[in-house]
Amino acid sequence: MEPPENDSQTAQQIILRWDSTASQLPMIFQGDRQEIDRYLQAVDQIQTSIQSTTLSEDDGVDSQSTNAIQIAMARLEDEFRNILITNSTPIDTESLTESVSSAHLTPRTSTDNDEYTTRGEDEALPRDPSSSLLQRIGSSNKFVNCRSMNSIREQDLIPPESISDLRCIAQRMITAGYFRECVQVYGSVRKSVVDGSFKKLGVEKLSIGDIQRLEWEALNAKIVRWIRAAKVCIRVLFASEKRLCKQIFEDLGTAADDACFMETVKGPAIQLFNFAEAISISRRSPEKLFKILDLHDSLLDLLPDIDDVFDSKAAESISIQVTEILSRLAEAARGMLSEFENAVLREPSRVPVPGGTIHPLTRYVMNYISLISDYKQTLGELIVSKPATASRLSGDSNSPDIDFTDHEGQSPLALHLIWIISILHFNLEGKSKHYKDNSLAHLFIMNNVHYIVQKIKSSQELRDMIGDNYLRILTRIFRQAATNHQRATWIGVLHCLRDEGLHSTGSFSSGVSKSALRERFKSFNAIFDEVHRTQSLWLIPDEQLREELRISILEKLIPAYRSFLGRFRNHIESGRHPENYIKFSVEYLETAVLDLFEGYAVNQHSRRRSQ
Amino acid sequence: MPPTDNQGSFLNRISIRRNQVVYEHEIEDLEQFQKHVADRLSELLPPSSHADELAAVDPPETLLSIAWFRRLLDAFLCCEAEFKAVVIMGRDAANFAKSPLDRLIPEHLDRTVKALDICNAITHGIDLLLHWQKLAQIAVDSLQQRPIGEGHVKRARKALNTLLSSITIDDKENHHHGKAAAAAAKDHATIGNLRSLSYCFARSWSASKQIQAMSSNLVAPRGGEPTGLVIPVYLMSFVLVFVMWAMVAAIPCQERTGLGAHLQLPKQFQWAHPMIGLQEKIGELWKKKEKKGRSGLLDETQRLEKLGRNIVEFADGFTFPVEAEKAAEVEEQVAEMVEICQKMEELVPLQLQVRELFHRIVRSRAEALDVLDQMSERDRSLPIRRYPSCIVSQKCITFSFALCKRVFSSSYKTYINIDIVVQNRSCRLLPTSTMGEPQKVIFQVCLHDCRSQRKAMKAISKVIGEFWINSIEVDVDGNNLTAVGVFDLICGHRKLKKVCKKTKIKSVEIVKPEEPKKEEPKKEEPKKEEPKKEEEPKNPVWHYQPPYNPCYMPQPFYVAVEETPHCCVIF
Repeated sequence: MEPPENDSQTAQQIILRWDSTASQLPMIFQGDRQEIDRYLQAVDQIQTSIQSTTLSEDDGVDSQSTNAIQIAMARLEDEFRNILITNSTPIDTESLTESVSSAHLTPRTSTDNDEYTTRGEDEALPRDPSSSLLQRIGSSNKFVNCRSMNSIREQDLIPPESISDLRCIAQRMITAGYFRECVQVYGSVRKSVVDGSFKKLGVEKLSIGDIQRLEWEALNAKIVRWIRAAKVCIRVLFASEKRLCKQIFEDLGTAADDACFMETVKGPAIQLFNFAEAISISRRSPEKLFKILDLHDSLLDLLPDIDDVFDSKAAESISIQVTEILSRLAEAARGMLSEFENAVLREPSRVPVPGGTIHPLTRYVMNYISLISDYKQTLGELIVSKPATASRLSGDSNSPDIDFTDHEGQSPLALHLIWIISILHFNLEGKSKHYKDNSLAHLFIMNNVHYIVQKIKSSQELRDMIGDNYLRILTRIFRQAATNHQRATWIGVLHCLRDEGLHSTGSFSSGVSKSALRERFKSFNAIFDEVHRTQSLWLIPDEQLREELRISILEKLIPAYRSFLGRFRNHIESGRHPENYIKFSVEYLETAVLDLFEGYAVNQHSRRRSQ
Repeated sequence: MPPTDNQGSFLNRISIRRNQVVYEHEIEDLEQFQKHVADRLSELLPPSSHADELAAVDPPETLLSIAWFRRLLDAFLCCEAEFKAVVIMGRDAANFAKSPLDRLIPEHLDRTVKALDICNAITHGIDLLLHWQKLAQIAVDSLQQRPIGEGHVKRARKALNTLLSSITIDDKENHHHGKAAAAAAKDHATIGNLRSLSYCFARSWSASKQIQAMSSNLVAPRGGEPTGLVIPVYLMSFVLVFVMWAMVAAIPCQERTGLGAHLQLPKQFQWAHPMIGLQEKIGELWKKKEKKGRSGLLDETQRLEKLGRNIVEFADGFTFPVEAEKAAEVEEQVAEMVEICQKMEELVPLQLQVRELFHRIVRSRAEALDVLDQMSERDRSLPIRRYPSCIVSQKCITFSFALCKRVFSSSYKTYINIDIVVQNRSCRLLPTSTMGEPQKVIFQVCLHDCRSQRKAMKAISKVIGEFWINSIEVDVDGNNLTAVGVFDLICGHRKLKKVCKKTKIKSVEIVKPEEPKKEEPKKEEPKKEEPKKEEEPKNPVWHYQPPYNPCYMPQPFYVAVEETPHCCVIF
């Protein structure tokens, strides 16, 4: 019995020597290795002696030992904290942004990485709307890269020798029943380190109210920055913290590693995801769609890693929260698309575009649609329902009627695009009614639908989605509009060139009524002049279309005029002042038609004089 | 002027003026809604101020204890659900375009955003409380060691000191935030101080300011003007502000100084009275608290703090061996602390509940926004009704529809039992437990022919929202309709009333009761005596447990991805 008693007494002496409450002592673990070992040994010894005495019920010894163990634990707690604090440098964000952004960049630049990391931050933010289009396309490409390149990469947060010290202490504390203290100390120190890292990464503490108040442009930039920060947080910061917990606390009983991990990370994780949550519940408006999709994409991309990192029972709430955010973002994206559809349908401007050229709405919608086709993959997964068409609002004359049975086998997203185009067309038809000149209305429709067709044809993806079927329908629409336009304009002109009514009534071939013929020439001249004057102010922006339309006009006008002239020229020239009646030569008409649809006024008189 | 008269006359006026437009039952719904809110809140009043028989039935929890808060939140969730069902869901946007509402609803939505922030801050605060609980637990554990030694006492003292300094620092920071607190934290350099320094929002965010902003533009509607919806919207805003105010007062929360002890309460409404009662009590406590400069009105925290001080005192003067008298005293205190610690275990579900609150607010906000957007979009009116975009329910409805049809066409039976096992469908729906407890509701109806029975079943199967119905039964003589499933009771009742005017809710029970005493008809007796209009349901079973679920899952969007073609078809 004697030797263990002695042992335990020396052990107690060792511990009392290091009693941290008694005097200001240096830290044991900063000192001699031998001393550390001796101290730990002493703690172990007392611990075993307590365990054996609880059986033998020796009060005096027990009290002494528990006292000693308390002192030892207080000491160890301080040591534990001290080691943690000395190793509490925040995560090295410099190297991280480099590694993450170089992951994006490998296909583009692999040489000047260093330069990019400093400037790259600012450059990735869209400066103005015109460049943001390119930016968005660029960013969608980026994600493809991220998916293949990025995965969890842990860093060593604390050097291995300190880890083994920490583990030694944690082990003693847990065996002595000081588990809670251990977790508290660990959690509080590491949490402040994580907070520091957050600051470095630029994760802000924004409330939902703040985010609702932010301008969209500013928010845009914040979303970009958040996506980058979130990647680092999940894949590096949290993953490393998790590994650290594992290294220190693994197999020390009662799920110590998970408890410590959650203690450290729960608050920061909630703070991190608050931002995404706030975005997901903000008001929906169509222009936000693509940023929301970016956010959704990157979260979805992170989700497996989040599940990995937060796989314990206690951490379940975090991954549930992320799933919630994801589903809300998806819902928001859907809402935004239908909002967009509504906006297109109801776009109220009534002022006709001068010259019947392409309406700004058409441009906007088509650009939007081609962006949608860039996000085809994501949106295709999110949009799973057919658009809400007129069939549901039967009897409603305020929206177009479209039958989707023609488009069986196309994805819902494609149907949505078709639907958007058809409501755009519908809206444009409504706008065309505000033109006073019927023929200009037709020209307007032709221009716009032609623009739509060209836009679809110019992007292979869009073309694939919309399908040739619908493209044919659109082509038919603008061809029809072209025909209608010609008919509306030229029928009056050609009417003057017909034969009926010129032959004097009653008699058979007695000849031509001269006065009628003169009237005809006069009215032809007047109408053509009028058409030439007005329609040269009109505009067909597409060169090819313009050319085609002119040729088509010439094909009708020139032969008719030529033959009319051929038949009746003599009658006029035999009379007085023929130049008053035959003003235009065939050649003049040919050049005059070339003036049409250029969008600016031509001085006809100067032209005629030069003839 | 007695408030009852006022309210009555007001409602009468609506019903006269808008008789053609608003259906009778709608007005009744709104009226019911106000009554239910009042009922639910008056249950929360401490017994002393209330009739005696109440206290006899069920001793209510201490004011501002954790259990009380859980009930408060339950009550709020109920109100919220009913509000959504009565005011927002399935309503035409044109209703909201009229004069007072077009201002009130956006204001209400603004308030909800602030409430969301407060919810987050509260969640954070509960984390802090949990931290305190852990510290208390350390102390309790070591003091319960037998035989007690000096080491144990020291350990307990250390933990309690940390706890107390954490509480006071948290408080100090509230008073003169910034340097003083940081310095104090450095001084102590103990556990937990660092924690209280990290808040969930930027420094400038202040809970009291949020509350102020929420309540400042909350002005009671004047008696004459409004359409029927004005009062409910106002009421809901009010309940929201009240609940948030109470939580901020009780739970540690970022920057609470300047939190008013009083809310502007509209005395003229009957529903406001229980709230006024509660508010006065809490306000008194808050004033006391502000003087003493202590942290949080939460009953448990205050007791914890007091006990902590006592035990530390004891530990400071600790000499071995302990006098028997003192030992007994301490033992008592330790026992109390154990009890508090146990009560504080409830914080975890409370936190989940706050989270659930958050989700609810988000969802009804989204729905309200939908309606508003729809309103702003159209200048010409369209006959669109916008339903909440829930996929599962629509599927279920169509499915149950199909079944209904089949059953009815195949045979002529008076006893029909349709059992729809939704889980067998190819689309795997979420298990029941994640969507709330299934409930069995018996409606008292009057359906004597097959046709009206069919109508009723159709109607009930159309209950919208994120719910489903497992079975619908009509008994032989057509007097009772039993619906089992997870669905919105209020909504169902409304639907049924369209078929059979005299529909009443006979009973509601949770099929798998979690907490056994939940649905006991606590207090319908005194209420029933009140002379009410003829259509009053027999008993106010409205205090059904909200479909609150600890493991909340959001709208089932996985299902949507699989095959549902309706998720974008909101309108």
